[in-house]
Amino acid sequence: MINVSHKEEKGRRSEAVENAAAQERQLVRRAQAGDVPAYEALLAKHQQRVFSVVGGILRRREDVEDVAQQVFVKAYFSLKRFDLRSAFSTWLYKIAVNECWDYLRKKKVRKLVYEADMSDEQNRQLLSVNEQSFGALRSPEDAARRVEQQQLVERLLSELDEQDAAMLVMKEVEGFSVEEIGESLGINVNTVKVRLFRARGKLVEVYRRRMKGSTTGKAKKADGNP
Amino acid sequence: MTKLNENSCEQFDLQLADAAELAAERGEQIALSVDSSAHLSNCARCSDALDAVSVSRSILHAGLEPTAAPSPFFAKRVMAVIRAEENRLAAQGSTFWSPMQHLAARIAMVAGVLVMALTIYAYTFNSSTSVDSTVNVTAYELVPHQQLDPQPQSKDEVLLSLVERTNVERTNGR
Repeated sequence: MINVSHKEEKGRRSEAVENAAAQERQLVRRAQAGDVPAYEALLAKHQQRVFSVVGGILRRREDVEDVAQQVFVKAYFSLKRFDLRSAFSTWLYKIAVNECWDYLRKKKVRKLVYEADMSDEQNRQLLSVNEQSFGALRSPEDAARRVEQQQLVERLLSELDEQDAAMLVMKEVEGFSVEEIGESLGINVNTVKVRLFRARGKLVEVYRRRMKGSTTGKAKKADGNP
Repeated sequence: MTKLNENSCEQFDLQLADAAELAAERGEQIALSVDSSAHLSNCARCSDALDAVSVSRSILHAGLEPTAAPSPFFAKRVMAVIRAEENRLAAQGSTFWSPMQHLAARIAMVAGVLVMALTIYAYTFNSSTSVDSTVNVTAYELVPHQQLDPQPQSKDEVLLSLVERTNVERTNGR
């Protein structure tokens, strides 16, 4: 009995998904024919997700707004070339990802950060947050500290490959599934899984290396060595 | 030995990654196959990598937050940019023809004058050639009538013409 209702529920869900997809295709066709309100509806539907994709890669709010706007403008003018073979969202996320890489290439906003680039203060703060206490910094009182924390995590991420860092943020922070990440970045799902797995390892390795370096620095200072 | 170990690590990478992602999605403990568990007990690298899954998650969650929702004016701003871009493109398209539009009146006037001049020239040229040809034809037509006698066509005609001429001379001599 439970099994039957579960199947029914599943069937209803897939039907709803199909209906939504058909409606979206209809909207896309209308927008392709020059129907501006149809494009506005597509924009309203996908803006949050596009923000998440762009935010996963760029992370700075000002950059995110500008690039997301550029994504929708570009999508509008390229819409006639979209052949509806993939989902509109997939096509849109690909534009978003490409725009982000272009933006990064042009602006060179991301610079590699080395140990020497971090101030003593930042190293001290990084040290003060051990692996267990990371999760404990969620209260509103810690807002200022969280800003610092965010900068430190961004510095850790900047030591990873750009695409790996983007995948990690999209997965862990923005809530994309492995399949969605694969489609957006044009990578096989298994490759995404393995790269995520390795990127996590690298992130923790960089984090621990910093901790160790900072501890050694402190010990040297305590001994009176420069 | 190390290379062999690395190779086997690569073999387990996908299995471990798969298990880790599945556990993360379901919010459960990572469930490993017997092979993977056996490999983990002998491989510090893979064991660390698996530990890194939860540690990396807490680092990322503590440091970063999901991107905030776009402002309510975002869509309006995008549509305004699109409209401006469309206007710019339309203006760009018309600028190609605008010099032609600007000069259209002058071009039409020059063309009109040219057509008129050509018409006058053609009319004048035509009338002058037709007068010449009339004159020539008249001259040509007058010459044979006034100056040239018709030539005899056969011997009989020659004899007859001689007789005729003799008769005329006789008549004139008288």
